[in-house]
Amino acid sequence: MSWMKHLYDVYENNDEKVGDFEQRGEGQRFTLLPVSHVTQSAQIEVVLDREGNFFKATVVPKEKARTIVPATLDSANRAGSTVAAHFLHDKLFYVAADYMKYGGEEKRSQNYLSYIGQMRDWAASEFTHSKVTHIYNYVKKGTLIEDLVEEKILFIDEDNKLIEKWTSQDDKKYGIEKPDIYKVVTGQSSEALVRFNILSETPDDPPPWEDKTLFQAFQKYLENKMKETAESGYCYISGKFLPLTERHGSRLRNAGDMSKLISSNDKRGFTYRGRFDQPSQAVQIGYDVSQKAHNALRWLIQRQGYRADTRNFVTFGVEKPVDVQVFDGSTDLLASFYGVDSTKIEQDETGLVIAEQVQQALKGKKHNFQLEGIKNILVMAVDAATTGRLAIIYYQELDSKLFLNRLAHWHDTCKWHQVYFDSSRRKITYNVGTPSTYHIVESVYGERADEKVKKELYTRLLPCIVDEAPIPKDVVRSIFNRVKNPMSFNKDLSNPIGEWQRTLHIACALIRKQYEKEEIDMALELKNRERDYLFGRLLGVAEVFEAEELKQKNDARATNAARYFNAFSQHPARVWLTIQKQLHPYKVRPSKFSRRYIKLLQEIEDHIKIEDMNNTALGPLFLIGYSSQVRDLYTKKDRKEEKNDDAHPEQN
Amino acid sequence: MRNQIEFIVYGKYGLFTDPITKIGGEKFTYQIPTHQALKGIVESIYWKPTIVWFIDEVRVMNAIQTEVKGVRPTKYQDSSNELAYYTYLRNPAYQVRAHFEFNEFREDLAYDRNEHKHHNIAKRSVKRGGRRDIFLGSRDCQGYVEECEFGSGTSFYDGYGEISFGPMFHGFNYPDESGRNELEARIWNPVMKDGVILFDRPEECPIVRPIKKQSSKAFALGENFKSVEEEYYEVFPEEVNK
Repeated sequence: MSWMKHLYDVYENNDEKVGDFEQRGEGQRFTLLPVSHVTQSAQIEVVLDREGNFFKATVVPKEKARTIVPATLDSANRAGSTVAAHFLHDKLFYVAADYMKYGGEEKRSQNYLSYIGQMRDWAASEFTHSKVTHIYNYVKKGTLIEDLVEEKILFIDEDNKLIEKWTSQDDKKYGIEKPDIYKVVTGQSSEALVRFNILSETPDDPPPWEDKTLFQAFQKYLENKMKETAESGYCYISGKFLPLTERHGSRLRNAGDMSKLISSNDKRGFTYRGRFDQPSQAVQIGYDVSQKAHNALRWLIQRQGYRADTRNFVTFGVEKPVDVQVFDGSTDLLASFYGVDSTKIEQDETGLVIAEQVQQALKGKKHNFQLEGIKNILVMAVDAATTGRLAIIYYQELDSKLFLNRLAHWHDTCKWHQVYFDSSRRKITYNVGTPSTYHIVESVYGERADEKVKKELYTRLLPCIVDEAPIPKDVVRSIFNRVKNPMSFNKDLSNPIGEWQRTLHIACALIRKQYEKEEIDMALELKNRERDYLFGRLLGVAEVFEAEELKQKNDARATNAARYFNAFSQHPARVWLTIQKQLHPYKVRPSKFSRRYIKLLQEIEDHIKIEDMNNTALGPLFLIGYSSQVRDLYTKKDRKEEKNDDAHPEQN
Repeated sequence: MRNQIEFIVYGKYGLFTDPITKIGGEKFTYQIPTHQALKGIVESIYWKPTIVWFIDEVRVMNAIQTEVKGVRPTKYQDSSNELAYYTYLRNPAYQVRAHFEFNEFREDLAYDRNEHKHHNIAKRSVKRGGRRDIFLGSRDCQGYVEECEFGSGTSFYDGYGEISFGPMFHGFNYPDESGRNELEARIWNPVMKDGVILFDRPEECPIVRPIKKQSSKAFALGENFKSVEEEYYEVFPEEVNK
């Protein structure tokens, strides 16, 4: 099924949510837009009484500005000097009959006529609504600016002209501070959008921009209009004979985004010509279908999209918009499954439980999907290469079971011990799981990387998550090269060299994913005789050995293992000699650890074949060996074990 | 079926542009090839104005996967470039079954209606990978044709069940093949069953939409085409004069 048909289905399956407002986090409220409506930001709200008289007016603060406005195709797509009014609410120079009287621009003299003509037609039609009548009765009086000036929302100068912009000199001139309206309007004050409200009879009577009965009245009115004016034909999406449109939705990614998925304004570009003269000859799309598909996409992006720079990713079900974030790490995933109740995802000391829990949770999700009848999951990403046109840059349609299996596979094969800062509990937490894609991207390129480069990586990782594609080798190489320089990282995330720790763990997760087929064990592999792995272990022991000794002396220095990390990975044999020399003082002066470490070093060195003791640079598996060894030494510090070792040294 | 050929066509990429995205220039591929695209491939293998090709069925061999590439197409009207994202099908491979019938609207070529001859030429052409360049949908997606037995080998969609693609473009009715002085577009509802799509015959498509008036090109000997004898005289004058 085509993406557009799917989006249309999303709208149809969720049409009871049309006009219901939702909020995501601290962000703006949004809704599944009704057909033939657009969202606009209002700056002035005019309240009328039930006789259609002016009651009061206020300047609308930015966070409450979102307004659903009934619109025609012309008005929804108007640009530049085109005169095409919305219905009910519109810019001041459209709705105010006295705009010209207060020094309006000549080129805008026709705007009010366009607005009031439409309003008269609607108010007189059989699809009118009491709120429409009230608003129409008020606007036709033509006293809007006068009322607003009296209400001290707008201001006029000595020539009785509207003050379009407030300069700093005006403070002194009029003896007042910059009025609110000039703070919220970006251009001229006559470009402020005016929305009308009516004193309600009952407390649950919604304002006109949230009134579903009003939306429906307008849709019926417009549908009736279109029967007379719009051309009908076969819609390529639905295959039905419908009124058509050649203008399609914009503002899909955000309110200021004018790029369109379907456009055909390039008459000189010959993108479609050849055998066609008109865009309509190449394709025809029904008005209703286009409106619904675009509104659905906009809603999904606002509701559950993920944004990286200008690129928006969204994953959804066609039957229900179910929210599964593909870029989530294992911990985020669990948090979203169990909600705020994070006590349930408390991990045990080894952190192994969390990885199991993710698999369990995904199984549960599969069960729920089946119950809710969610057959297909769609993964989509949109971005614009140029300002005008939006492109689908990723699209995958998957059976919901297959999708969750793939997600489970990702969380199973790309996991490692993770360290992260839990902001809710304000402490550092360890567990086993897959890092979030956000953290992967940050770790591969570093914080200061270009946003454009980062968004590409999101897109490249998407097939690894959704299609079980192998991880791109250059990504692993990139992060490997970064990890090789521990001294270049910030020292926050508590002990061993801070941020580096996290990056190391993420690198290990990616390396593990790269060597997926070999199923690298999360625990230390004592039997592993690979050169890279053994060298990694050696460095791990050296690191812990020296760190312990330094801790005893309350010395905050970086260990030699950390300082020589890069050199070691390039010339392991030679640098190992140097590190050993540095360890010498700790070896000769016995402490409570030294014995154990010396023995361990000896053991590992014995495993390295003589021909492997050379200076060939180490591969990524070296990190795995290092990380496993360090972790093993830090977790298995049972006093008992050490005592046993001391008691029976000859046993090993 | 009579006059049938079977082959596999594959390539690194395919782009069967969804008409929705064609007009804007930010091309996005259909998930499966259209009848028209496959017909174009078959016509590149072998075609004569005497015959009309029909695609009987197609078997999708590889999983349907897409890949996006940033491209810099040149503009038509000037030498400047543009930026666009095109979405291609990755590693498409299709087993195709097609057959030809004679074009009843070319009465002038009635003398050439020799089934056996055309069928054998077509089969030989398939063996050699076709006579002209093969594209999977658009010119930048080079394809390759090989002879094969339809249904042989394994497809990703073996035992997969049914997938319905909704209304899709099927192909054009050109005046020289429909006999009507009109260009028409056909729309149909393809269903893929275990990877196999059985194509409706063009005249059976549920929706036919007139696009514009057009007439078929007239051919007049000596005006816009040359007889083979004449061509021979021109190319090998020394042979003729011997």
